[in-house]
Amino acid sequence: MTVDPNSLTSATVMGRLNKGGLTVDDYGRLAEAFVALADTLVADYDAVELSQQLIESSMLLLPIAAAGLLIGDVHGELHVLASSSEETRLLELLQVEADVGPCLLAYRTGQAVLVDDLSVEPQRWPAFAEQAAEYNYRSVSALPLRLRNERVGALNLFRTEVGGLSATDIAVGQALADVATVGILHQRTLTRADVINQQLQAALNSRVIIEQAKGVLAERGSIDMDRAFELLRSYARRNQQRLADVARAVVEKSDTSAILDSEQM
Amino acid sequence: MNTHDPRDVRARFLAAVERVPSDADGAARLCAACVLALPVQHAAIAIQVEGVGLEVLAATDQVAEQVEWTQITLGEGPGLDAVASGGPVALLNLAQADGRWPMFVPEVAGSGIGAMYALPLQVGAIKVGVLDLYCAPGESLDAPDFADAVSVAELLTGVLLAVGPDGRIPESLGPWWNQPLATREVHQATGMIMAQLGIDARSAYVRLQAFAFGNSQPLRDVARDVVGQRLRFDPGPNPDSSAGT
Repeated sequence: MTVDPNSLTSATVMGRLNKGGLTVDDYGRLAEAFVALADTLVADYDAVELSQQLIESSMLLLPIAAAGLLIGDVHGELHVLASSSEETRLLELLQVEADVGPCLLAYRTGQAVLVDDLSVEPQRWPAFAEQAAEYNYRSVSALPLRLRNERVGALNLFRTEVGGLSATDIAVGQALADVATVGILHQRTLTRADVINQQLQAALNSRVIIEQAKGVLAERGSIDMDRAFELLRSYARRNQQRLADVARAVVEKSDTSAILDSEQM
Repeated sequence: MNTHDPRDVRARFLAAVERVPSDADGAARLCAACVLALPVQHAAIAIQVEGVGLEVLAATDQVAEQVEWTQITLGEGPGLDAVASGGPVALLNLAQADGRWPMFVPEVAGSGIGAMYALPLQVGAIKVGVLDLYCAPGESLDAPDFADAVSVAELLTGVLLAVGPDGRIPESLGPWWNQPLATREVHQATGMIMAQLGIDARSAYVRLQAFAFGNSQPLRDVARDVVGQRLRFDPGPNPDSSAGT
């Protein structure tokens, strides 16, 4: 793995930010977010943890109510890799959007799809517009994850207010999406579609391992899936292990007391 | 990287299984069907055996079997990397293998094979094995063919999970070839059933599937009931809601 996080962030991000007119405070928060991401990138990180951090950074930096990052599989179908909540309703909304919605459009075209008011033209994606309204989301920005000409996925940012994100916020969101792309693919030098596909399939499989591990922990600890995910992540961080490795150990071995212990405290 | 329908190759693969003479044993028929359904010249399946590692289950011919044993014996090769990484691994050109497999590549260079694709047979942490596909010299899979190969590997994973490593492949693949897409809840339910019954992930997944087929319910609905705690696989506090043992 040969990612240089410094060159990666400064070139793409600052180029965009200079046009946006950020305040000093914005810069501070942004810098913190990228320092946190750089930490993830230099270590032997995994794609799910990196994506989860990007989602959290998006939630912190942008005026949004929910976010989800989806990547495409070898068949061109999108799957949720990370989201701001593990709640079923958000996951279902993201999946509907991935089937017919702004997310799929952003993925297919490689262009940002900005819908300022979902109640205008709901017939473009009726199922998605209806479900989004049900959950009180009024606008969505879908930003493409792509590496040169190859499609990777899309980052979705939801607002409960009508009105899209500012140009600066879109630029920040796109910069985060760009970091996610490089992080998920592990290398910037990948060019061939099949190599990119290999990385995406591996990332999707590690998400499956995490779901299996969440099930084990939820049952053993009598906790919900959200809490199980938090415990997995915090254990991985405390012990400086990759999230996917911790999850695999949970599924392959039976001892989960160390992870569940913090629940009892 | 495309929008073609994975169901097409599934149907093609199933038709290919029917075309293979039935005197071949189950796993050999699956390998033979790979060669009929995909633009590849050889195919081999190796399975993950608990405590042992990979073992060759079947191959279309001696070339494929030899390459398979070579990587297992040397402990390096695309198939082993695919199992370890959880994603497909391709060796497109033996002449430009960039030193990634310094022992394996020279060993198989004279085998008359072209590009090699190693596709892991797995569901999350459940490692079933690996499907290795070999193109004719000078040939490789384009993006739609590669997607088809991944679909076939997914299908084989379902079949091999259902019959177990030593089981016979059923005469008709029945419901196994046409499984619905696994949802997050299917994987979460697998973990919960593991904890309820104290069994490994593979057994838990098979139990979940068997229950779904046995009750003619979609897998995802059964999984949702398990995650929603409306269905338990152990004799829990409320025996009426137990799926039995």
